Amino acid sequence: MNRQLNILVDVQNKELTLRDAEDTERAKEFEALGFKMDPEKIRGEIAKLIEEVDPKHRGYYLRLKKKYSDPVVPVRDGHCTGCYANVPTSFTSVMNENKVQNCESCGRIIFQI
Amino acid sequence: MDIKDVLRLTSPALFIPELKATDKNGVLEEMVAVLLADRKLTNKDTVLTMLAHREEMGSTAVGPGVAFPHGRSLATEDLIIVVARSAAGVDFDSIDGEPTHLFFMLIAPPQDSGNQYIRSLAVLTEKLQNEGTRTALREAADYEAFSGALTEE
Ligand SMILES: [Zn+2]
Repeated sequence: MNRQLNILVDVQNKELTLRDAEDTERAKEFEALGFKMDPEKIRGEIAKLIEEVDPKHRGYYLRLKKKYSDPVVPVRDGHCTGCYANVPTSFTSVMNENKVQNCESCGRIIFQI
Repeated sequence: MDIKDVLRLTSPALFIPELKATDKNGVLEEMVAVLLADRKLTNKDTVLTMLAHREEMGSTAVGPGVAFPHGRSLATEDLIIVVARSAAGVDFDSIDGEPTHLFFMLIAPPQDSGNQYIRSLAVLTEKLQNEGTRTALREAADYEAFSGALTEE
């Protein structure tokens, strides 16, 4: 996977952790088991990562984020897992170029897992 | 959810009886590698980054000699558990400063029905409180003996 896409996927994974950390009930459960939750730290890391995103993709990502809770999604069995539309087969062949691709149907940023 | 439900989330293919790794990052890499070998994943980097990030927030070596590296990832649709052991023990930044011998890695999907993820962590951390269980797990000859020791009352 290319560097730009890697950053965007990392951001989205951190958003998943942040969701748990910001859910007070759930965060308490994690803490009770001994696992620290630090939403402030996660927010800081997300902000830092977003600065590393090429400005031409950053604006697009931030707009997507306003629209969807899952702006970055994997492709599974040839489908975008955000909207289930088919993804053209040409998609995988350009994965390694420094390109960020989006689903033609819903616009979400897509990646191959 | 009980220990038998938790064991359904792993398999003999996801069990490393003796880790080669001798440091924290090495352990995470070796454990994620079995997911690739078992074709549960095709890209290990995003999962490794996620796990390393979770460790930075606070070590997951919370049990005596036991660590539970865990986190959610876009890379999986189902909760998956990888189990590993190290006879010599690995420095996992544990709370008590002691080496870690038993590892239960939980990779959770973005959303999980019925809180499977945290409930599995709860079941495992509780089970591993028992010293007899920990000893039996470290001494188990194979996966069958290992899962037997976990399910034993
Ligand atoms: Zn889509």
